[in-house]
Amino acid sequence: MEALEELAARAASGDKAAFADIYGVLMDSVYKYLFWNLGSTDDAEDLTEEVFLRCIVNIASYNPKRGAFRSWIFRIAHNILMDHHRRNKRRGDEPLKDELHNGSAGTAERVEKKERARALHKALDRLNAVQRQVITMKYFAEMNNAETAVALGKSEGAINAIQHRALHRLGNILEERGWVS
Amino acid sequence: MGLVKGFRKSNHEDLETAAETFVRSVDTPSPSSRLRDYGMQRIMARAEDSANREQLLKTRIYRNPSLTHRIVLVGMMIPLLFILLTSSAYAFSSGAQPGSTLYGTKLFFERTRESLTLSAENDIKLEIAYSDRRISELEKMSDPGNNQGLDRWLHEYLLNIDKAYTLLDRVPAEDAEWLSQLLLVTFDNQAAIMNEIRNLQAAPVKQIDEAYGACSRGRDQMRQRHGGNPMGGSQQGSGQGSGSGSEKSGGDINGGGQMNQGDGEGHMPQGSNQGPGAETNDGMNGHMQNKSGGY
Repeated sequence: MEALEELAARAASGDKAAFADIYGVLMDSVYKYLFWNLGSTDDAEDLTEEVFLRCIVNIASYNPKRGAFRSWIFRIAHNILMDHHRRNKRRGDEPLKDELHNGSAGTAERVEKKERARALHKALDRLNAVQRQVITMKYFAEMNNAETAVALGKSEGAINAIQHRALHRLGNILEERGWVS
Repeated sequence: MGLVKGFRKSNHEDLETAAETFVRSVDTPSPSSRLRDYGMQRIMARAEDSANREQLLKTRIYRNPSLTHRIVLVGMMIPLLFILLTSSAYAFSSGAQPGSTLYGTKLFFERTRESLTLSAENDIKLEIAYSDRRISELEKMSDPGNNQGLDRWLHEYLLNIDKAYTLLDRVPAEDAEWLSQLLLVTFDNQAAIMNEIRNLQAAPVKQIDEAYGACSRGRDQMRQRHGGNPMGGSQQGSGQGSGSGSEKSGGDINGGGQMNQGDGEGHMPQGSNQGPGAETNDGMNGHMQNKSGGY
């Protein structure tokens, strides 16, 4: 697989296959980032589609010198997320749906996974917006500090500090609820 | 103190590690097939729509036309508006009767058309047509009590026949010949109609009498021009009238029995009506040639 930056250059010149490759590589990460910030699979899917739509429309404006393509697309995702929050005023906190955990695991295991997801969702909800975004970008979108810093428009040092504070706060919350000891 | 710090740092790191471990252990629900399998197609379709929309937005004439576009649009609208208003005014005024507000508009259009005519011959034809139009107006006005605007009507009628008569001197001799014949037939017809109208009036109407007199004088002058007796029948006429026009007549203008039952003298003293059709047809119609057929 080519680097995302090369795929982006090809996509910018009208290569649909290159854009399909980008979609295949990044769709899951973008979806996860949005899901853990929104708490709704439907909203996450809609916004993921919106992110890639804005990406293909504006892909010609991507400049590799100004950062990694992954950072660029997550900056789009971040902006769309902020727009969504502004529209809805508050972050949706719908309970996770049972049908979302339809794996082949047994009942007890499935219930526990669902409970862990619910606990994390509630814990993330108690973080501030920047902390939540850093955590979701780093652990669900699997971005490194440099990419996260560019996507959120902060320095790497700031991201590192935010990450530590966020994890500490998250640990406290989970400890309160008996999920970590 | 150092121990406390160490303990705290250790506790802090443990908590972060534990939180990190917990976060990594949680599964994210998978996206549905709508996004995974069909998302790409949907995005591409929407991107094409978006591109088309952008293209439409670039066509700015409908949103914010430039000054040039505005000038062109206004430049096109003004003649169209003028044509629309003029044709509407013409259409509405064409049936206007003397005394109505639109009658002036009707006369304005007539004079405009006259001013656009380039030859005296065509001018005469127009004046003849307009004098016929006056007679039609008079027929519609002949109801008792409907004499409004008769003064203006008379003025216009006299103007029409006077112009037609005067213009005869400006056309070449060969044209003057057949045009004067055309005028003669016209005056004959008009005098006959006016005579009928006069007979229908309960009391004499000054304006109609005056018009009739002018028409009769014009007819006599035309007869004289053709060497006929202004007070008598034609030298070439049949003397009895044909009712369907003489052999040489133009047919359309002269036919149909409108000038029937002439007595050969072709003269009917004013006010001495002798019954329908007694007026005119003195045979002068025989002078008419088909030259006037185009009128």
